[in-house]
Amino acid sequence: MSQYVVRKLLSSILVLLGVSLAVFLILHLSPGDPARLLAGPEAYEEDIAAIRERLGLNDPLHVQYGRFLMGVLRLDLGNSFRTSRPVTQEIAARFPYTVELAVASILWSLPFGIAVGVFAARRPNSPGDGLSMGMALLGVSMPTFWLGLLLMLLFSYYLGWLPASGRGGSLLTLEGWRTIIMPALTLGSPAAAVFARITRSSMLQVLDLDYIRTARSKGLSEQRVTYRHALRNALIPVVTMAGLQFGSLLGGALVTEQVFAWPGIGTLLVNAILSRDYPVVQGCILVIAAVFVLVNLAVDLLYSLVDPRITYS
Amino acid sequence: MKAKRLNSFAVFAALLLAGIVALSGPAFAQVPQVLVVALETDVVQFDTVKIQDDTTSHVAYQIFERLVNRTVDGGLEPALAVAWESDPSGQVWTFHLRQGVRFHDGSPFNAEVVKWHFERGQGPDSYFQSPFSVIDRIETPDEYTVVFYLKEANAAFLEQVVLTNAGFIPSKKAFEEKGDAFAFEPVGTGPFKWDTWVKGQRVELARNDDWWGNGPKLDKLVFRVIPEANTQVIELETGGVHIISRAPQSDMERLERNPNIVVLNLPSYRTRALEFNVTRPPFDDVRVRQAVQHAVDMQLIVSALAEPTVMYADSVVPTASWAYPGPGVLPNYPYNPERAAQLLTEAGYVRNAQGRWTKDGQPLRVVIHSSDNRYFMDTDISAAVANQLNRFGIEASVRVMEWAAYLEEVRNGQHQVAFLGWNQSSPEPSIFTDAKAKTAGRGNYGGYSDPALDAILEQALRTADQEARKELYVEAQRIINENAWFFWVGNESRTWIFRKEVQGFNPSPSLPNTYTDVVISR
Repeated sequence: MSQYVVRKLLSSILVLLGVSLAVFLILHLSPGDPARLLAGPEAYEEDIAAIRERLGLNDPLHVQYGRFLMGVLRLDLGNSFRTSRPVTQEIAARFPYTVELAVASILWSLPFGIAVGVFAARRPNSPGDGLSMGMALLGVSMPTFWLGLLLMLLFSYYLGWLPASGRGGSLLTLEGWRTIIMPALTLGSPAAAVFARITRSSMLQVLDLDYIRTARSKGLSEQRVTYRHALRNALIPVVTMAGLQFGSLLGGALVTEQVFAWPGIGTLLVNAILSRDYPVVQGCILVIAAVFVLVNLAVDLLYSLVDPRITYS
Repeated sequence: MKAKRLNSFAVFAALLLAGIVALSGPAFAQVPQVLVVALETDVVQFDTVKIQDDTTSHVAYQIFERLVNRTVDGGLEPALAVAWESDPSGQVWTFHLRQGVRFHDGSPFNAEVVKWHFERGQGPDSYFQSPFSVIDRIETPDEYTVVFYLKEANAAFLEQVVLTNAGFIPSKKAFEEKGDAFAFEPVGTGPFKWDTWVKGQRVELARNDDWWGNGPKLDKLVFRVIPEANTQVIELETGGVHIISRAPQSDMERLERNPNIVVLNLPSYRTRALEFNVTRPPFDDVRVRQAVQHAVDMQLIVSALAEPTVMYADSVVPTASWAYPGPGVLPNYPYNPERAAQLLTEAGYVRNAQGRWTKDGQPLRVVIHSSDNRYFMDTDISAAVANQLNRFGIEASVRVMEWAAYLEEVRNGQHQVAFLGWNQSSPEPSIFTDAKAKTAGRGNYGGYSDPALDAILEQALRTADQEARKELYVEAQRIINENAWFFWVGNESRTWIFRKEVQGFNPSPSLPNTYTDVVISR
């Protein structure tokens, strides 16, 4: 097991190295001059040139990438071009909010998605199944941008129950809860739909297996067959998907954060891309990729808990 | 029994009501005056010699002050300087400073601080080295007098140096004590003091009770970061914020009808144009530049798509500037397809059987560069122009790009014609003419060069008398329009949308807003 973890961690480093190189190259090859954007379109050429020199943008690409890598080894992601603050500080100020939102989203979407999936699988091709899967299709296809605005119109504009945007504070406060409800619903909706669909198809497969027939013939209640025998085995693909979804919730919260003015890493990243703040873009993507890799490693390890037949060597 | 129960209920209700009244009475009177303003992006940093974005400048304007301020109607008024004068040549500028002013950290404001700050503006940390390089040396004959000696006469010194973001004067003491952290805990002399910054969420400023001016009346000024325009509108309508900076065009009519909302459009110093690249065909030929303008009904396009936010204009100098001669005075190329056809024919183009204009067998193709929503309705206006050109027989298309990539292509001269704007906070004509049309001007993206124009602009900058300057700038505008370098779209006004309970909000057409007179009526 520990050998497996070490091997996985080492391969993760290679993945992250690849990610950092790809992001670095894409950033530097795409048009747009950070110094010009920093100085503003109305700036003087001499001032832009001075900024470019100070930011080290005149150095050859391999020198700039080397500098970035050496920094990463010291856990230093460089300084933001725009604010001059260390990128680690910029990310530390924002990332917890993205994690908070992603966790809140997964906390409702996973159980809800599984419940809907089980409900549908127990009565395949019934109207209930059709309705559940129709809703799931809607959840997957509806743009989060639009869903967010609809929720905002309903709960803030017409009903006046919830504040339209912003983060009200920690989740230990009522205001914190009131402000996270709509973004978490918006962000979690596509994930819930995915969980429902996966659970349904996985459950249908398992419910068709011999051991389920055996369990039923032993006279076990349908409740017991479904939840004790079938669901546990059907959950393996759902757990995998949960890991992937959590990763994409972290990186994909971008639109939701923008709509709800949620101060997470998504808004930081969007602004950094638009202003070509290379260190912040590189730092954000590296952190998101690292978390993604770690979450998926954790999911790999979770398999053995869900299904004791799986072992690692 | 029942009557008794009712009685005790009545007593209880009366007590409860009395309690509520007692509690709410004084509390109501003490409700703090807190104004919430929406920002599109978070503030960046507050080292004033590095502030380049409008958002930070807006917030900085509440914390810091300049020597001189611009008034709402475009004039000048004393701020940290009570009086100022230049010698007749415009080369020596003397400022008499306001006495008794203290920074928020208690340190005194005086000539030494001013000298230190403007010298820093010339230094390597500054993003304003070029404009500040006009300063030769700064002297402080006494504690409240500062004299700027310029390298040469400059009638636009106030605009180019004092009224820039780098003209905001920070506390030297705080800057030296805090070092780099100053950029995130600014200390100025302004009507509001720095209080809290929750990154990505909000900036809170508190009233500076020791401010030398009248006010502010607010207890707190809160700036909330709300990037999405739709969200800003919902927040405004539900009372989450008092003032927003933008709304989708589709919401404007509804907002104007809302009795709780005020929509204000003020003419601003922001010009918009399709700018020709004269360094490459086909727009290296003035006749083609004129023909394209005659072939398109720009007034119709602007009135249909962008009014009242964009109002048609015909010069490099904003119509709200004292140097603009008035509509119809400058040479212009109004919609006239016959004249357009005549000009193209003179330029060697012929109309083929399909009605397309060609030269040497090659069709006349025009690609209009447009950024995506950087300027109000830029993409839509560009598309409408392309549509009209196509109808006239010129193959036209629009290349829409994200701002950073767009700016890069346009700066490199890879465009034929580009939708561009020039935003300034002052009616001073030189910051438009010299930037956009002077040879190698910083906003001259089309390779424009006319020695006669350059000479007039130089002369105008060295002339102190405003009437004489106006004559020179009108002549400059005439030459610019004769060259037909720009296809004028208009001036983009600034829009403010705020809740009715916000009283005393008197925004200026030039950034930034002031909130010293604002009160929230209940």
